[in-house]
Amino acid sequence: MRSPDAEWSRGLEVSNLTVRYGETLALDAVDLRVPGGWIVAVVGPSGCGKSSLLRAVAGIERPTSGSVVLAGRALDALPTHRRGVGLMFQDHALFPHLTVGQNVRFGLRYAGVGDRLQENRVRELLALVGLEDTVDRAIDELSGGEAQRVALARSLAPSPRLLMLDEPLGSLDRTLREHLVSVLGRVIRQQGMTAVHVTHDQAEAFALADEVVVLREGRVQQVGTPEDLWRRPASAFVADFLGHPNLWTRGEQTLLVPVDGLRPAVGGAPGAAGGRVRTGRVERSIFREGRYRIEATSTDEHPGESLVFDSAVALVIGAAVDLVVDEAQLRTMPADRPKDATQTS
Amino acid sequence: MDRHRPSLTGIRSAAPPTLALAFLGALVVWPIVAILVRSLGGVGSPRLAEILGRDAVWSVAGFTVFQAALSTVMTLALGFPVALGLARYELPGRRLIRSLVVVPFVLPTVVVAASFRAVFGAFGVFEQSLFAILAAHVFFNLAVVVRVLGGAWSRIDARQADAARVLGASSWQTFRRVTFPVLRGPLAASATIVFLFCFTSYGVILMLGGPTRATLETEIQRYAVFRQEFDVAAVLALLQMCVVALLAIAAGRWQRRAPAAGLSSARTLRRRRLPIDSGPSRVLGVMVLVIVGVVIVLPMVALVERSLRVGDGHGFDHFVRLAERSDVLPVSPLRALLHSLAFASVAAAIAVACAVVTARSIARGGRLGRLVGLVSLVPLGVSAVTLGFGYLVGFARFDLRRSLWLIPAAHAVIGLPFVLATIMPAITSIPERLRQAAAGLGASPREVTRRIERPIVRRAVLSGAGFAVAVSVGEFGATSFLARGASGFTAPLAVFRLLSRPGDTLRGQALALSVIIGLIVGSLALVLDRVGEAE
Repeated sequence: MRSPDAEWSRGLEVSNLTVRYGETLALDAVDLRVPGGWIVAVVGPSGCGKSSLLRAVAGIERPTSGSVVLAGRALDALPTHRRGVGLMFQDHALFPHLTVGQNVRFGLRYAGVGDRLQENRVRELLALVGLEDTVDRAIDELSGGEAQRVALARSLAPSPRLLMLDEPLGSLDRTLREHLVSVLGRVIRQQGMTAVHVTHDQAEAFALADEVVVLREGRVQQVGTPEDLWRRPASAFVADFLGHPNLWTRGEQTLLVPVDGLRPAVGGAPGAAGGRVRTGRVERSIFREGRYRIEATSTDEHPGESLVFDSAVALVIGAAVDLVVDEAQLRTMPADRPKDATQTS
Repeated sequence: MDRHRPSLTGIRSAAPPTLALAFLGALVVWPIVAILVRSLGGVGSPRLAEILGRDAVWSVAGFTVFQAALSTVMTLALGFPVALGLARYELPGRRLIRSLVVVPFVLPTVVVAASFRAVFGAFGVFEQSLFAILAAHVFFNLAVVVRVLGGAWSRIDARQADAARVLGASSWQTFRRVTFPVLRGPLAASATIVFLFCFTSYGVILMLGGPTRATLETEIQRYAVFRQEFDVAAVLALLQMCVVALLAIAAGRWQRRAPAAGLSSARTLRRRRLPIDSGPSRVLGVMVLVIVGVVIVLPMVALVERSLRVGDGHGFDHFVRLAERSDVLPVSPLRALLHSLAFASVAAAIAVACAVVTARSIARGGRLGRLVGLVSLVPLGVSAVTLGFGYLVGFARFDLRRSLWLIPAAHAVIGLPFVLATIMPAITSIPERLRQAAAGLGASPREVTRRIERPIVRRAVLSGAGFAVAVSVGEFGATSFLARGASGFTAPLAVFRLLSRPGDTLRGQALALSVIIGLIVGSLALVLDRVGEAE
């Protein structure tokens, strides 16, 4: 574990970073701060520039302008191998001609770890990811999850100043992914590592990160803790990307009602409570985690909008429902969703 | 990504492929240009028209096409069951049969010709005949059909056939409507390759055809070397190159029209091979054994047996006498073999260097590399004899032809397509991610080369070198133009020279030398095949 000092706690400071490929602007004057010991997730749909950000920080890509400072040291003039930035990829990128132990050991000589200590460090890290028995195993004998854990151990071994994870769990199935997210979080925090986690999966970002950065078309849309983002998305784009289904456009504005801000009206006059009421027709009824998630389409004066809510009982498909909107949870934001955006749910 | 790298490394990385291009320019492009100039230089002139008007030219061209077409049909007919049996059935001794089929492809033409002389000589018939030519061509090219067609066959996605069966197709209908359409591409591809090889076949025709069965290849050599009529040889070479170019274009079309749709590369989708348990499968099994036994094993056994025959008994006399000089050859057969091995090591070094440089450039998306890769494929189509003749014409002025270096350089060029095909996949398949991961761990570009790229590519480079050696040790066509004097005299030339003179002793020596060349090249091929299969 690294001892926290003033330099270290400054973490990663990216300012005004711009990356251009010919005519396309992949990153447009992006600022990003990751304090020492924090995990920051960078999320966004494919093509939003998150990979360019990662490549520019790692020194694989040459930015058009801007600066990258890590622990108080400017990285801009340094090639990748002198930056002290560890990388972990979706396809794990383990070296196929080396054993598990040799993979983990690979970077230690460049980190100035002596021969005798290398052995210990390899064992320590493999133990940390729960793979102490695989030192001599060949890479192609590993399962997907094991390979990913070895990749984590390998990138942590030389104690980089910054660890960058590029969709680290993208290729694994869901159960394994959930398990590995917790392994990742535990190990990274235990090592006191500063980390940037790039992903298109907001659930993965929320599960791991202290702070989440939403990128869109090369620009930062919003920065905040997972709860901040979920409760107070800055734009319809962010709300949509995070998976809020109930987004209703009214002119220049978008109304957002969280799933639990929409309740079926039970008995009596629904308007009695004084709240806004929506009427719709049930399209789907999906049982999950003890409740039914009902997907309905509005049939009132704003027809065709998505009305998603939870119900204790199943509803008949095609049935009409009246829904009360919890005004306290209703939020208004600029309607900047791109026209072609499809709802993520 | 390379295009974003600073320009300095751009310049540095452009130097090696430029060098490779210059080398290929001199040894592939220039001789072809020289032939074109020589033959077309007189377009409209009465000379070209006069040569093209000769009946002899067209009857030679006709026989060339005829024997190639017949050889192709026979190879496909015999190769189809072997490919099916090896690809789909659990034949007893499958690995051995596979290896036996693969070996002839790399055997030198003179060794194959010697084997068939031995077989037919043993039976006392057909020693020099059309039948002998066809048999030798089948022997050579069975490997092509088995590899291309059988390879595709074993990679057909089993779920397609299963789906057809579920939809109600009988097994014959499934084959006709599902499996065969997928195989049509590989079938056309193997037919084209086999035709091309038979069309440009030289040593086999020369040694098994006898004086009356001439093809474009043998006539180019005869007009160029014996009659010194370069104009005629150039026109023949032009004809030959035209046919090859047409074939290449046609093959390209087929390949584009029938992409590998339906073929899966995933190992998991490979079907399990079927057991030999039904009547038809037993018939197939027997067919495979008979074909491989008669076409491939018999000639090899006959070669060994004849090389050991001394008078009425057997012994190693012919092998022992390989060290002796006779007045038929400028050097002893053993000495010629040593020359061959020396040329082969130089050729392998050149070919491997060229291939590595080219593959690295292509892997980085370099246009120069792709150009080099394209030019390096030319010797696959343009025959060794044409190249050799091109050197004769193109380098006559520079006196380069006398240089001993020209022999290994030509061998390197002829082997390069095979070497490149071996090394290229290994180099281009190293994911960029691996390099980035290594750099992220602190490895400098030099270290990445040393600790990542080199170890991963090492096996492929060794196989490539093996291919280059195999090609060089057996090379006959180009060498027969280039070898001047004793120091350039190679083992294949010695076999040819010894076999073309009457006399049991000379013949015995030729067969013994063939056995040794065959052992060297054949064991190389077996090792390479194992390496290839393991990867």
